[in-house]
Amino acid sequence: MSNQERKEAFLSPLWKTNPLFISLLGMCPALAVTKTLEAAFGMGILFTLVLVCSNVLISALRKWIPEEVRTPSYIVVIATFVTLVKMFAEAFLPELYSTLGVFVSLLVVNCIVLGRAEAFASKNGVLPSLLDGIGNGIGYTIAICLIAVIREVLGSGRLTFGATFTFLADLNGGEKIRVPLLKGEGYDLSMSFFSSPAGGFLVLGIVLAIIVAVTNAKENKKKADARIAAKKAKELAAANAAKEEAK
Amino acid sequence: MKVNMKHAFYVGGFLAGLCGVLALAIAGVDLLTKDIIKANKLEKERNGLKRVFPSGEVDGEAVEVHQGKLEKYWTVKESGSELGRIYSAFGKNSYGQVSLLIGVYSDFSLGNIVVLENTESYGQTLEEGYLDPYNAAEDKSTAVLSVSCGATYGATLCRDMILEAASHYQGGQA
Repeated sequence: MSNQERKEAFLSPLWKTNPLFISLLGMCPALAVTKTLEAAFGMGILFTLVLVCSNVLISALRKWIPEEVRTPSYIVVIATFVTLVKMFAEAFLPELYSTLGVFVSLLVVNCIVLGRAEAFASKNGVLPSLLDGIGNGIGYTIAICLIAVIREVLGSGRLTFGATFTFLADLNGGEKIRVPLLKGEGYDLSMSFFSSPAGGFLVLGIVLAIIVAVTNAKENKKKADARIAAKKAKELAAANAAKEEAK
Repeated sequence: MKVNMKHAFYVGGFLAGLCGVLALAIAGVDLLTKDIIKANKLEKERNGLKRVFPSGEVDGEAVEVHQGKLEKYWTVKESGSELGRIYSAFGKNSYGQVSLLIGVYSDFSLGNIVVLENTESYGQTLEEGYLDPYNAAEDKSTAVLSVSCGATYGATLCRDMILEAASHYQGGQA
């Protein structure tokens, strides 16, 4: 694999082939844990850890994994890393662990993790698989954090830090850090609907619609530019031919 | 179809080896984190006890119960007299598990409830015949013992735990 391809394996999932916004994978946690930015960011970190570790191990074992038990082997590896990440989260980030609840365990059946193992790690070396894991992990984290910011601001009217990552509150003298945006003293423009699962669906739908519209507009512009360039080239060729003829 | 025994042994051996190595990794991390997790839970429980009866003082050690969903209780005193009890309850169903600290005053009315752990997934089926929890909450004396407090299996589980705690105290069981 060339350096360019390795770079592509890392950069492409950040936006161009984003697992959530473009491939529409991992929708369940994207709706369930995006009520607050902190929870979404925490989920993104745990997801990235599981994805990177499972990608690396599956890639390292790819030549020895028998074809008949390919999928069970992937599931065993992924389930192990989910269990390890869960234990570490429960020990060192207990608030995050209790906020995410059952959705940490559900990473075992997350289609992005299994999908990357099947589509990439089982066919490529350790380094490209590591880069692919990091790229997809960051891409997914960016996507769920974007949804979470919109939902938290619209749903609660402010951004709160320190509820899940308690060390932030400790740094602020034990008080949670609250950034008032739509809710403050004397005004409250928040809509609690956006904190509900239905609100999550609506926000995800709107974000996807915007992304599709922007992508389509870019593609249309590219096509239009190509048409204009072809037309200009044709005119130039015709002019050159006329000149030649006149000579 | 002829079975290739060598290959069959290889597949079985590979899976067994993989599972063995990964199980060792899990056991190692468990060994590393179990004491920290236990300490976290105790810390959470201690903080929870303060929140159940903020004005009271926990008197002595917990009394082990291990009856139904109840695990243990603490007696809480205020100015020397018994203010109530804090029950530690644990319940589970097909949708997950819940751990609660339930405060019951000495007149058997309900105090604060602290959720220590809740891994219940979202309820999918509504149980008919339960009273609206918001209406029930208006009349605290009836809401405590005779009113169902939820619509989902998780809420039903919590209700059962609360009722068990209240009836344990009311029944004078030590």
